[in-house]
Amino acid sequence: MKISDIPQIAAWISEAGIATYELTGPDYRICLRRSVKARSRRAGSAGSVRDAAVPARGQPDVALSLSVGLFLHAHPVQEAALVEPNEPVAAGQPLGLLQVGPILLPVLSPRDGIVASIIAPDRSLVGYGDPLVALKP
Amino acid sequence: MMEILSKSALTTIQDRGRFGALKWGVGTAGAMDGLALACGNLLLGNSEDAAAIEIQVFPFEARFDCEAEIALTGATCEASIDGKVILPWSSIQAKAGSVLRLGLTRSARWRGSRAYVCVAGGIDVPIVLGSRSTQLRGAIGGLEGRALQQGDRLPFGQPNGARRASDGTSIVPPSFALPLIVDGLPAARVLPAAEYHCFKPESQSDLWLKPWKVTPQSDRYGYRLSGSVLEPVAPMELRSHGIVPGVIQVPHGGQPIVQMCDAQPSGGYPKIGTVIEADLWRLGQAPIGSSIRFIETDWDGALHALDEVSRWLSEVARCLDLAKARKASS
Repeated sequence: MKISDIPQIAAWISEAGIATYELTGPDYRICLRRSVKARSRRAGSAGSVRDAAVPARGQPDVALSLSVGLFLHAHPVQEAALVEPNEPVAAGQPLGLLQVGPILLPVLSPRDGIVASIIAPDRSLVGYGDPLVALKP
Repeated sequence: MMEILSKSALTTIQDRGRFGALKWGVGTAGAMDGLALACGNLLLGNSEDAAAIEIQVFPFEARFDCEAEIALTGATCEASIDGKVILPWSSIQAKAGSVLRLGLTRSARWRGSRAYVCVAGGIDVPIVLGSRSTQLRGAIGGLEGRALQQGDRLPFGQPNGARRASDGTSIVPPSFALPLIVDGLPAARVLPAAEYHCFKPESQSDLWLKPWKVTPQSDRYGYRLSGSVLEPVAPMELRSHGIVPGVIQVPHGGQPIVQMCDAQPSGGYPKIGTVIEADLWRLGQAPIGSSIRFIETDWDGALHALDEVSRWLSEVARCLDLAKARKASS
């Protein structure tokens, strides 16, 4: 890691809409923070999904990944997926889990609705802002 | 405060254990799955010596009469609060009047046998000889030195102000993160003990190569296992001597007994091995009727395993802190 790398990292996190970036190495620690309000839309194919998911534009139809991680359909100790297509879900209900190292972050339903499809395959590596689960009214 | 609503037998208050009192003949007690307890306390930001409720007979039901942050770890059971499903190994906010219910343990992936209900601030019962753990034999620690009963009301300690993981944040359970399986059976590493060489060579190899079934005569005091008969070269008569949880004794019938958390501090049966400290939680979660395997290890292997456990717990703590920091900043 060189100090000259920092502008590139700043550009990447800006492009991805990431608010906080922390990296700790053997002899350094970097923390970059951006204003959440100013964060840009994720570039590329996920952009349209993100637009659809902005609450201000009405009912979000897709639950997006809020972290890099492995997307799990079921908790490791359980066989059944947390939700199945066509299942009604409530706002705040876990739709899946993101494994980040030894912990699991819940992917919460942005609203009441019905699961249209589970977009990301089980145990797939997903990035920040990737669409995970689609909802229908 | 929380009130126990169910009649679940053998539910006790446990912390890490009561150490340093064996010299007075006081056993360690403590959580049978110390890793599950540690994970619950990490989710809540509790100190590592906070006490929780250990449940081994289901269903279990309790009501919170104030708002409380709780974490549920250990055995896979159908758990809900006010009818809302709780993810395994996660924390959740209980409202005043909320009813927590743990159904039967079941899972094809990992069942376990003991669940832990942790609360922010820990269960606040008096500290006896350095621990809040219930020691049933001596009737000390926990709530009046006994198992919990329907109608018991448990006070909570003051939460220490540390951030709690957000609702539903969970941990990959240690049985998956630190797997140890031999021929499809959960295993535990064992140090050969003082009388190991007094057993016939075929009995020594049976210890490592045969499955051992956890019989119904297994509890917090010890696990009676059934399997091959372990035979000494010559009958042994020993004087009583100090023993610790993990010691595998072989009485005259040749069926081993593994001493567990509520073990007496002394015994006179020959010892063929000792389950290492780092693997005691694996036995603590082995359901009655299930089979286990033993793996031979040495002193260095035992210390290495303990390091591996503490590294994993630090990594869980580090990642939970990152997730908590993100919750706070978002």
